[in-house]
Order: sequence, then C-alpha cells, then structure tokens
Amino acid sequence: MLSARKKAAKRAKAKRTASKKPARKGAKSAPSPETGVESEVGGAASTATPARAKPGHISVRMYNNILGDCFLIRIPAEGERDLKILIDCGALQGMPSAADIINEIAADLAWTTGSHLDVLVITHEHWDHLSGFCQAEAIFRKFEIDELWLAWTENDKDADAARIRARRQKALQLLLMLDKHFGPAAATPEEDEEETPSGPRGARQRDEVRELLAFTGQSPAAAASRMDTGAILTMLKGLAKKVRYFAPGADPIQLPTGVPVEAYILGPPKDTKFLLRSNPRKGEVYLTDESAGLGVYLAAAVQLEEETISLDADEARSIELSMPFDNRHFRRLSEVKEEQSDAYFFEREDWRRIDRDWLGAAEQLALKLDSDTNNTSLVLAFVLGSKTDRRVLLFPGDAQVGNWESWQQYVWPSGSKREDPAAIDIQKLLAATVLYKVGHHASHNATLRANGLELMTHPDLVAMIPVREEFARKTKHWNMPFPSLLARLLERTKGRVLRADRSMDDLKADRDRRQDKPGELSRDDWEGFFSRLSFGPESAHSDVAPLYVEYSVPLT
Amino acid sequence: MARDLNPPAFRRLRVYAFDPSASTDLRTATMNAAVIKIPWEPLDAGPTGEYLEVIDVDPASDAFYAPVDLNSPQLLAQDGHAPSEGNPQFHQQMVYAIGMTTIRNFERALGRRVLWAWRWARKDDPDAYRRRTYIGKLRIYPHALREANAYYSPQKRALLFGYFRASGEDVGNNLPGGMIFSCLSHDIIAHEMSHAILDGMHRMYLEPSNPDSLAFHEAFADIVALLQHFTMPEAVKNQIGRLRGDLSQRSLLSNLALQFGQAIGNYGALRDGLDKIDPATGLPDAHAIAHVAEPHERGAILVAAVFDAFVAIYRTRVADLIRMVTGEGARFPDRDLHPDLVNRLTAEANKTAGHVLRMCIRALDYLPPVDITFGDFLRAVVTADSDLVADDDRGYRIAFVEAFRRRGIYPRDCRSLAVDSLLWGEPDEDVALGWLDGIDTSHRESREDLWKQAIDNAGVFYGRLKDRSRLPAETLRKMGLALDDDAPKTIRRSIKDEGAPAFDVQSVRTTRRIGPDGEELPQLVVEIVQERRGFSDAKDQSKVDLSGHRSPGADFTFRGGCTLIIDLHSARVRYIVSKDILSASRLEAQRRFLFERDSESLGATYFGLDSREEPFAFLHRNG
Repeated sequence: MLSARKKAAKRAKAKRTASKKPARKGAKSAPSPETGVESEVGGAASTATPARAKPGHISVRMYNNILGDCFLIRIPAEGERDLKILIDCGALQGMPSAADIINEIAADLAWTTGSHLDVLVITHEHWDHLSGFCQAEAIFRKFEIDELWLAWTENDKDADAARIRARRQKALQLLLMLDKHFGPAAATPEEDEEETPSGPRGARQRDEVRELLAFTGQSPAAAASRMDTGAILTMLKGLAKKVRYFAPGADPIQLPTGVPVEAYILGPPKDTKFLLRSNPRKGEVYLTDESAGLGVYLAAAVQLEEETISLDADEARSIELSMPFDNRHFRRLSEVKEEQSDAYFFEREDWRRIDRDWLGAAEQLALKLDSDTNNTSLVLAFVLGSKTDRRVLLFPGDAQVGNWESWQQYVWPSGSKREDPAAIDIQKLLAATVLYKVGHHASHNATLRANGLELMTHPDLVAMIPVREEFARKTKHWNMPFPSLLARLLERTKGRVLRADRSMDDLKADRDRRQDKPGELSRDDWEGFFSRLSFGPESAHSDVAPLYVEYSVPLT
Repeated sequence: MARDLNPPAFRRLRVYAFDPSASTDLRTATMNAAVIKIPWEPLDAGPTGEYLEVIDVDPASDAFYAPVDLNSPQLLAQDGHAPSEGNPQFHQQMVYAIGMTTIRNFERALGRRVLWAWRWARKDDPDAYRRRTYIGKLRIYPHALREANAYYSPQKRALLFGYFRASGEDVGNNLPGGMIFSCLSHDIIAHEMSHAILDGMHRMYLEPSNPDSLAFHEAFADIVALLQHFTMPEAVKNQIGRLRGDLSQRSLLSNLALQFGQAIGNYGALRDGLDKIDPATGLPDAHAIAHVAEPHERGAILVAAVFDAFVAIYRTRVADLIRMVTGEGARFPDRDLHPDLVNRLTAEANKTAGHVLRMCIRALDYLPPVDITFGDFLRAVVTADSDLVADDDRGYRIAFVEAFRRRGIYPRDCRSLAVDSLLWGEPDEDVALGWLDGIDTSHRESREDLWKQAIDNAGVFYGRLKDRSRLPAETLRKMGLALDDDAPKTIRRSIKDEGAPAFDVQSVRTTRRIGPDGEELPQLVVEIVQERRGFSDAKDQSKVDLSGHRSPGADFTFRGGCTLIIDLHSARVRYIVSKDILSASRLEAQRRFLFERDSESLGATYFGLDSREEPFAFLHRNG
C-alpha cells in the first residue's frame, strides 16, 4: 500500500511525464536513453533514423512495467543495419493501464526497429505474451515482419498439436460455461453476518478460476477484448512474410544475414509425458486422465445447457455411465426443491448448502489448462562466441518442469555422441549461459533447480525477470517472484538481476550493498556490468521503472 | 409420543470394514462385510440423529437421493442395508455408522460429549459469548463432489465426500473407469470426522502457523482412522492370521484408504502407518522431519511414530504368548497360528489400539490453543497419561517417547527426554484468584445445555481476566498473554475498553475421566488467545509495534495464548500450556514459514497467499 506522501509524489511525477509524452508520439525526436552511469552520457544522437545496437554486441532489451514478456534482441549485421528479433509482447489481462503501457512500448519498438522485424517469436499462446499485438494493433499492423517463429504446437497441420489444442479449447469452454452458471456474477452474495473476519478465516470471496483465466485473455472478470489469443496468432501469421514452426533437438537455426549467432531449439517436447508435466512434485494425479478429467465437467455441462448440446448414442451412454447410480435412485434436485420439505432447503441453514462446492475442482482444471499451455513454450537458446568461449542467451518462455526436463535428451549436432568433446548438450549450454530470461515471471515451477539454475555456472550470469511483484501479490495474490527462487537467482548472479519493476536507482542501491563484500563482485566488475547496461526514458504510465532496460553482451 | 421406557443399548449396522475393494478379494471378502454396534439413539430419516445429519444431495449431477429410514422394520431386522456400491441408502447408513463410532471413541477418551465448532460472534465483552450460535448437528454430504476428494468444511460445519471414476493404468482391484465413492471408505470417513471433532475443540489449528500445524490436523485424523481398524474384531482376526501376529508388517490394518489410493493411480494405499526403515540400522529416517514440509507427508511421520508406539506396546503385551509358541518373545511364528492364539492376539491388539487411541485423544485437552507442533503433542500425550495413570508399569509413555525420538520429533524447551521432564510446567506459586468462582460445572443432560454452560463459563472467565489488577505480572507472562497498556501496539485492541489489549476465552470445557483404578479426574480446561498483527518485514513489525499505525495493512495474524488445566477438586491450576504472544522468536519463525517456503505446489503459487475458504479441500486437491 502506498502512503499518502508517496501517492502525492506519484501524481506529481505523472504530471511531469505527461507533458513529455506528446513530443515522443511525434516520433521525430529520439528519446535520449538514460545510459548506465559509467558509460558515456548522451551517446544516442537525436536523428530520425532508427537507433543502432551497440557495435560488436548483442543487445537484449526488456520492456518494463508489465506482468508479461516483451524482449527485443538486436545484433549488428552487414550493411549498416541491425538484425532485430522480438520475443513476445503482452501484459496480463486485468493489469492496470496495460493498454497504455503496451502502446508506449509498441511506439518505442516501432521507433527503435524502424517498424521492421527480422524475426518475431511468439513463445506460447498466452495473453501475457501476445496481448500487445491486439492492444497496439494500429502500430504493429504497420510493421514489416520477415519471419514468424512458433512452436510446433501452434501448427494447425500437426495432428498432435491439433489434439492438444482441441483439448485445451474444450477445457476452456467448459470453464467459461461453469463460470457463466456458477461464477461470482451468477451467485447471490452469501454474506455471513455472524462469522466475522476476526474469526479464524475471513469468508473473503475470490474467484481463483477467473484470476487464472487472465492468462488465456478470456477472464470473465476483465473487459472483453476485441481478439482472443487465437485470433491474434492468426493475425500475426497473416502479417508475417514467412511462418516457421520448430520442434526441439533439430539442427540449430542460422540467423539470416550471416550474424555469428545460432539459435538452438530446446522445447516444447514432442513427448506428451513431458508436455503434461508441470509440477516438480507428485500431486497432479487427479487430472492426468483426459476422460476422467473432463468427463465430470462434460456431464455437468450437459445438465446445464441441455438444449444446446446434442449427443450421439455413444456420448449419451457415457454420460449415463458417469452418473453414480442407476436411474431408479435418481431424483432431480431441482424438483425436490419445489417441495421444500427437505432439511437441505431450510432457509435458516442456507449457509450450509453445497450447491457450488463441487466446482472447486474447476480450479484444478484451470491450473492444468494454464500449466499445459505454459509447457508448449518455444524455448530458444541463442549461442554466440567461439568453441572455447561460448556464450548463451536463454529464453525459455514460460516452460515448466516437463519442458525443462525434456532438454536433457538432445545432443547437437544430431547423431553425435554425448561423450564427443565437440558435441553440445544442455549441460554445456546451461554452463555457458550469460543471460537467463527467468520463466513465467519467476514462479516456482518454471525454473528447474538442480538440472537448471544450478547448472548455470558462468561467472557473467545475468537474469532478467519480467514481473510486477506489487500487482502479482496484492491484486492477484500470486507468489511471484517466488522468494527462494529470487534469492537463489541473486546468489547465482551475484546481484545482477534485472527486474521489470525496478529502477536504475534500485539496482545501484543493491550494488552499493553488495560490492566489495566477500564473495561478491568488485567495484570494477560492477562498473563493467553497468557499462553494458542502458536504461530507457521514464515511462509516462508508470513511475516504477523506466520504459526498458537493455543489456549488451559482446559478440566476440 | 409415549416415552420409550426400554430403548435398546445398541443399533447394529452393516458396513464395509475397510472399503469396497476388500470385498473383491477372496481372502478378505467375508470379513469386509462387518456389523458394528453404535449407541442407540432416536433417528429420523437421513439418518438424522443428535450429532449427525446426513443429507444426500448431489448438485453436480442435479440429483437428490432419498434418505434412508433406519427405523423401518425391514432394516431393523437385518442390521440395515447390505453393503453395496450401487445403493445410495447404504452409503448414507455407512457414513452415519462410522461417524458415530468415531464420535463414541472420542467421547470415551475425553470423558465428555463431543460438540461441533460453534459460530463466532467476536466482540470484546462478556455478552458476545452469548451471541455465539450453537451447532447441534454436523452435516454429512455423502455425494457432494465429483472429484477424488473429501473434506471437512469448517465454514459449513459439514463433511463433503466426493466420487469419481478410477483413472490410470493400474487401479488395483478396481474396475478401470469404475465409480469410486470416498464415502464408502472407513478410513476417509473416520479421517474427515476427526477433522471436524478436532476443529470443534481447537478452532485455531486450521491456521498454518508453522510446518507442523496443518500436518498435525492431517496426522491426527489418520491416527484415529488407523487405530479404529482394530475395533473391528473380524477384520483384525483375519489380518492377524495372515500376518502370523506380526503387526509391524504392511497389511490392510496399516493401510489407509486402499481403494482410493489405487483408483487415483498410487499403486497402493493412499497412505499407511509404516514408514521406511533403513535396512542397515533398522531405524526410520530421523532427518525427514527437518525437510518434509507437505502437510500429508509431514503428518505421515507423526502417524508412523504413533503406530510404531502402538506396535511396540502390542509386542510387549503379546511377548508371553509368542514365547510359548516359538520360544522367543520377539520372534513371531513362521507357520499359521492356532485359532485360539489368533483370538488372544486379536484381543490384545484391540485392547492396545484402544489404549493408544485414548492416549492420543486425551492429549487434545493438554495442547496449547494455537501454533501446535509435534513436540507439543508428545508432551501432551505424556502429561495427560501420567495425570490419569500414575503408574506406567507397562511403559506406554516410554514407548511413545522412544517412537517419537526415533523420528527426530523433539519438544522444544525441555531439559531432557525423560518422561518426567516432558510433563507440562506447573505454576510455581498458587495464584489465589478463585479460578472456579462463578463457574458452573454441574451435570447437564443435553449437549445444547452443556454448550450453553460452557459459553456462560467463558463469559465469567473473561470477566475475571479483565480485572487485571488481581493477576500478578509473572502469572500473565507464564500464560503468554500481554494485557497491559504498554504491550506492543500490534496486539489487537478492544474498541470498547479504551484500547486495552483484547483477548478471547475460546473455550471452557469440563472433563470427567475415569482412570484404570477407578479414580475420577474432573478437570476444567480453559483456552485463552490473543492476536497480533504480523508483517512480512521485521522492520515494519518493530515500527508498528511502537507506533500502532493502522497502515500498512498487516501481512498475517500472529496468535498467542494458553491452555489452563484446572483441577476441579482442589480448584488449583495444574498446568499452564502457553504460546507467548510476545515471543519474538516464534513471530520470526512464523514469518519465515509463511514467506520463505520453497516446496509449494503450483496451486500454492497462485492461491497460497490468501487465507483459504476451504483449507482442507485445498490441501487435499494440491497434496
């Protein structure tokens, strides 16, 4: 919660930045990026030509202030131009002033890239990864996109992919139908006068399913958007000159125009065993079986919308079998209700009725839906440098445990033995990782520990977390970033964690606390780190962090 | 209606001794159809009796199943409906029968009647106690959910049972895709029932304040379910015959919820009472307790400890019989047993299980009102037992201490593990407060009158503590309360009483237990709690402790208080079991527990920060 003083400061700041905004919208004068302290100030020239990436470096720009991903990678290429790769652009549904922030980001993207992308990567079909193309459609429609990279799971022609998508669709529809009939809007408020909040548990009504559906972009709690995630993907497929689908383990992709960077594809796995695994522990036994998992809801759905659902003989039989008893024991609850004779309907004991409790299982379905989609993330490792000094930028999307575990099986080049010193496997890639885009806003199960983070041993490791903790915690009640993961990331990177909800001053304060302490980076190391950083201008819509933070890794 | 002069003592009802899966196995089918005797009470259709109200609605299927009338002559003549998965009326009969058995076990051990958690009306004046609402009947919904789950709903004072279709490749004895009913499992019914009874005694145990608190709820429920297996003679006889007397082997008796476990693809029971033994040392893992955090798994350690104590006591009790057969008291026969020996062993197992179960249940009165740990439970077991049974000639208490020690469960603040140093502290000097003045402990017949009496007593007690001048400061410290005006400002204040620290007398219970030598032990158990705003940042905590500003909002609630055990004969306080509201280390421990856990499931990432409406539903789904 903000104190009154802080709020006043926020207002004042908003006013200041608001006056700046129209000038930028004109897009003629370049914003002067606030460069890192130790680097030369005022390096960016105010010209109309697109800003160039740092020569000899691969630059990764994280756009800030969103609970969602938007990463721009730029690599200097032949002919006085940069190769530009955009990975995702979206903010979680329901985030305050999401559209404003996204439009500000899109405008900056257009300016920085000259509205041209060599590659657009969409890691997976979640609102917080592609809402931007809807919210800032006007800007993105003007983009020239050479290639669109997607995971094999987005390929309509792939039979497995189609099955996964159909299952997802069915689950989503059922959840939305249940919400329509039983969700907060349909329920009468059950205020419990006597059970005061000072009792052991406040009866606070919060709809977890709706919170989770925000990932799909179809949360009934938020205002409906013009497009759903599927429609956005379709639009992007139409916009790009070429659409490419990738399956893991294949030969690394050579980037266009001969830049010295290769992209390795690590996920999503083809094996459904990995694809459906989301949790580091057991405990998801309940929804593993497709028919058992969805049948429950299907049976309910049939009763809810009898008139709209037509069944063939087999389906009718399977619904009948999913009833617990023979027909002779069955009386419709709605008919009994009219008799009002049973104790269940005593008005005084209304608070003990269980009409909606069975829907609790829908949370599990929503969770499963969410993590299954996360697991279809296209995972990219950009590899540069020489054989002896390899460096990797790892972009796992929101891959969860199963996706991470599947990386172990691949060896490059294909057909080579793992023992071959020239062969590359995930161990080597992780050991060479110098930039890790932390998966799923640093939730606990999107970063594998022992076979993941612990293997990232490169002394220059830097992590980027696209998270807004305040919004995640206070509004969504989500444990993001996960405290112990964050602590370990800070240890591993020796403090070099860049967050989408932190300013340069926050980072400097962190540095001042750490530098020259035993086991920490020295003053020179931190200077070197800051010289490779640059910060964007203030955001007009948020005073939390600058518009972006950019980190550059030397190519040679 | 004319008064029934000679009601029968018992009602006989048929149940599954374990669950329907044992009936599909030729070796266990006959004994699985058991008949149990429960105390006679007038029943309405439902069954609806004094304690329980079975309501069979199934909203997920839009269905209502007609309630069983156990008074109908057909059913009276044949001990109720025959066990059947396809007859919802048998399901109603079974949840009622097992539920009443569990209630009776608790009542026998506690020496008083079981009451359900009342509804709150929390204000800081004696009148508020009168505004609490009595809940006479616990509701049981045998077919409430369509999922592999069952839980006690503290909000609704109801048990909700689910049904689902067996999934996975290996479903054991069950039909793949067949319907599984959690309300037909003895273990699940007894487990959920224990949750409800425990909640009626200790309202604050639902709050996870340390790794043990939710685990204790689960473990205790499992302990009751497990030990109740031994109350069904036919089943025990059958299994003892198969085990040749050795109860430390895995069997139907040590399994919990076999069918449920198989049906969700567990390749065996959901849980069991035995833990892994290191073959080299013959000892269980004493370090598991340090890192296992998931409530069911952590609870399993406590369950294993109690089951271990049970087996150890059983072994000493049957050593003479075994010695006559094998020549060695510790070596069980490797051939089938004589039926007479099976009968004798069964009787011993039954008696031992009864003892151990009563020891565990009695301990409930000796627990602190908040923030329970496994170590507290051990101390409570030892104290409660030595209060009632002065002479531990069979070494029951030592068996408990040993089984707990082997699993690394130690109480805090104890000088040694000797039984006498595990007893709760007695007050140093007697506080002449007239603890019992105005307290009504006369006998009441109806449960509702008993409850009213307890509420009135709580009001009287509240008034007594309000008069702070009479309580010396040291006694208040010993009770873990902070009632002075200079107490930390984060402690919840009373609005009416000029902002003095608020407190609540949560319960006043009278117990009349009878010891083995026939001596009566009448006691008054009083629980007093306070609450304090807690902050995830220790700096905020100390700031608000001093300033008392309302913003920023608190991140969690920290509770403290004590249980007083007062001897009704001498009117003196026997024990003070406290959790200090001022303890900085306890506050820090809770903060760390709440905000630095790293072994949570994904559900907890999303749903974990808020207090849960249905804590047990959540626990079970995400377990």
